[in-house]
Amino acid sequence: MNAQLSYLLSDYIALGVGEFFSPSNVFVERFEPQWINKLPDRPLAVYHGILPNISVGAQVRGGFPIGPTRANYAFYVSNGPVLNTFDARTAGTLDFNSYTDNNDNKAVGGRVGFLPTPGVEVGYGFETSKPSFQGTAFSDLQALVQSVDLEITRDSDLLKGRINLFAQYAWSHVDHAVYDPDGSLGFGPLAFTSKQDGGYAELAYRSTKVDIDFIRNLELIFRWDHLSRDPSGLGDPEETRWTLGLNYWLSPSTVVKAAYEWDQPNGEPNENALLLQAAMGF
Amino acid sequence: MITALHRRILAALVLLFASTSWNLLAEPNAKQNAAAQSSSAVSSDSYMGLSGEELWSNNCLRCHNIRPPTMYSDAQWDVIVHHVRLRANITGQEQRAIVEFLKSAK
Repeated sequence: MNAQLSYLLSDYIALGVGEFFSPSNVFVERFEPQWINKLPDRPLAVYHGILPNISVGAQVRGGFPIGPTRANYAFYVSNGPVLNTFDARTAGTLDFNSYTDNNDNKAVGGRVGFLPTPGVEVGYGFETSKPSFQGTAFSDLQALVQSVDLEITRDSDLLKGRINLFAQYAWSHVDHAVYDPDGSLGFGPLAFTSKQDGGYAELAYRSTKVDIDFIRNLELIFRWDHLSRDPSGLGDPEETRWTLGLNYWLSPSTVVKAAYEWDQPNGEPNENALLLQAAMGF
Repeated sequence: MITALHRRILAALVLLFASTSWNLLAEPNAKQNAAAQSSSAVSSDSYMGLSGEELWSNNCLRCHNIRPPTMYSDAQWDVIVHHVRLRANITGQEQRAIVEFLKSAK
């Protein structure tokens, strides 16, 4: 749940202040609601400290035509993330769920999208910030997170249905730092430049042009998602998942989902799982 | 061993392949078919001259299934499409064309 106040300045510009889904992360803005997300769980990377999800601040956004194509933009200023420094498992990662404004610096981010034809969009998102508390040894560290994304929706007579392809790849970088420099926290000194990367690709097919209702209401989904961190061994381990899902749509916004997920955290036992979910949008 | 650089290159190639193979999925007369068939089609090749109905299906289906015009009242559609404009970054003209279609299609 979040809330913001928006003002439509012109056909191409809208302003907003408050708490909002971060525009730099296209998944949380557009696909996060469970009746929209085609699988029962969220993909790796977009919710694992690489990209922001909720921001508190102000934004300007809009869309505009470029001849026969479209472009859109969203830029914002927000409190930004907090750098984790206190334990070995999370040191160097960014906490985007904190509402603490921990310094005078503000995070600046945004996303630009381009739609060369209807049903196709490519985008680039970013956020840059100084994520550490003011007056600490980490206060000058700079963090940069970036993301590229692709969304394709296509109806095809050839395939007798509709295809959705969603893909997003994100990577983050936090400047070199020495964590627990005097060893008082029990894991230092630990010096490294923190990097994370990951993303997902999801392909869905629904036979919207078949005459049989039952078949037309089914949707098949396949997703690959991945998360890794450098240096490895800290924080979330490297993880790759493959997920196969089957949805049954009871209405345009009511769905029953079933999926099987092959989950391979690096160096840990498999976490394969059968996932079931029912979701309804209002 | 697959490095982060390799994964980025792979991701770029996948994006490039998907973009260039786009038209393989569509039939040559897809635009004409789209107009003649159901309003759920997403097959237009250009934004030029799209009707409110086409804008409605093209923009809504980018994220989720479309809901029929009869599902909500005129006032509700005003609020819903306003929300869509902010979330999907459509223009004001597109917002008005979509709302006009939804209200007229009941």
